[in-house]
Amino acid sequence: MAKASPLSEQERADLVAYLDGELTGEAARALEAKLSLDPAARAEADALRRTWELLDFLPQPQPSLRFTHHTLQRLAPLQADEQRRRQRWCIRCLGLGWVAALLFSAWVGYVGYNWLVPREPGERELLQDLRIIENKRLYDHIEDLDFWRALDAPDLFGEETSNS
Amino acid sequence: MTISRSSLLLLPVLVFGLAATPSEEGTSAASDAAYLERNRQLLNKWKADPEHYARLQRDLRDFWALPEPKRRQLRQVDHAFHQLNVKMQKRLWRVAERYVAWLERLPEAERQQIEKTKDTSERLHLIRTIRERQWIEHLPRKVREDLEKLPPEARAAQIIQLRKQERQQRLLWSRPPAAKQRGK
Repeated sequence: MAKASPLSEQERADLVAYLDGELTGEAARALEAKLSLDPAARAEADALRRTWELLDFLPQPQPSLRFTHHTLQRLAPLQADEQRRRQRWCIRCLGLGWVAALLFSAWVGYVGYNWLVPREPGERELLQDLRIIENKRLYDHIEDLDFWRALDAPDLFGEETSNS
Repeated sequence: MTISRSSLLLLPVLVFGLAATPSEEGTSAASDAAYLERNRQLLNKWKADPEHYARLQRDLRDFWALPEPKRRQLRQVDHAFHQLNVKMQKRLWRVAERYVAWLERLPEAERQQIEKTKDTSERLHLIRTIRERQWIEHLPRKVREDLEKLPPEARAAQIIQLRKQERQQRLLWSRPPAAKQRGK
């Protein structure tokens, strides 16, 4: 017949914590008092301590050699996905960079050329716009055809007709 | 088809080159061979007159010194004008010549004022005001004094009446003598 434990559940839990060095303060002092006064409790504490000490002699379980291999094998697809995502992102960045570079080149080319090489009109330009160049003296003062027509009034510059 | 990296590297250079190549402005209709040939013949004729050719060269430089929107505007005016029938072209041409001659004779301040007024209706109002003032200044003194005594509304009506009389008088004078006899 098993002898009744002199320790309550709470006290046993405190004792385990005490042996693990995790019990502090008032609770530790109370347990120490009980152990010094109660031989049965002290016996149980000794039994538990010895059990604890025996655990140190048990063989430590070692992970199998395949464990690392299996883990890495399982991680590999995840790593590949991540790598593919990064590659896609890099390609997109590169594409955007190229588009930006092309636009920038076009802008620099256009602005730069017009700034460095001012257009000097020649005979080709004269032939293309001959009518305008010939009449420029008049066109300069006439902004559009509506304005031109409006000037054609008898009190402005229009011709006088018999019915006006 | 794969594109090598070196080709891609050359792409911005190519775009730069294309952008730096000057585009030919206003060449859509003007590039027409017949149009250019006609202009070439005209130009050869005008080259015989050094003064005319020198003016063309000067106006060409001035035209190309204008900002692009202004050049476009001149092209639009020219294009719209040449869409009109010949009779209307001749009529408007005489109007433009009278207007520009008048403008060039105006005092500098008034000319500037007209040219700085961008709004067409405001500009026309200003031109009309100056024309009316000039017209009144050339009236006989007695008529002018009578006109100045009138209140604004009656004055405006009297100006219309006087102008009408003046036009009729001028038409009468411009007719040949036989027509004048018949008109009596």
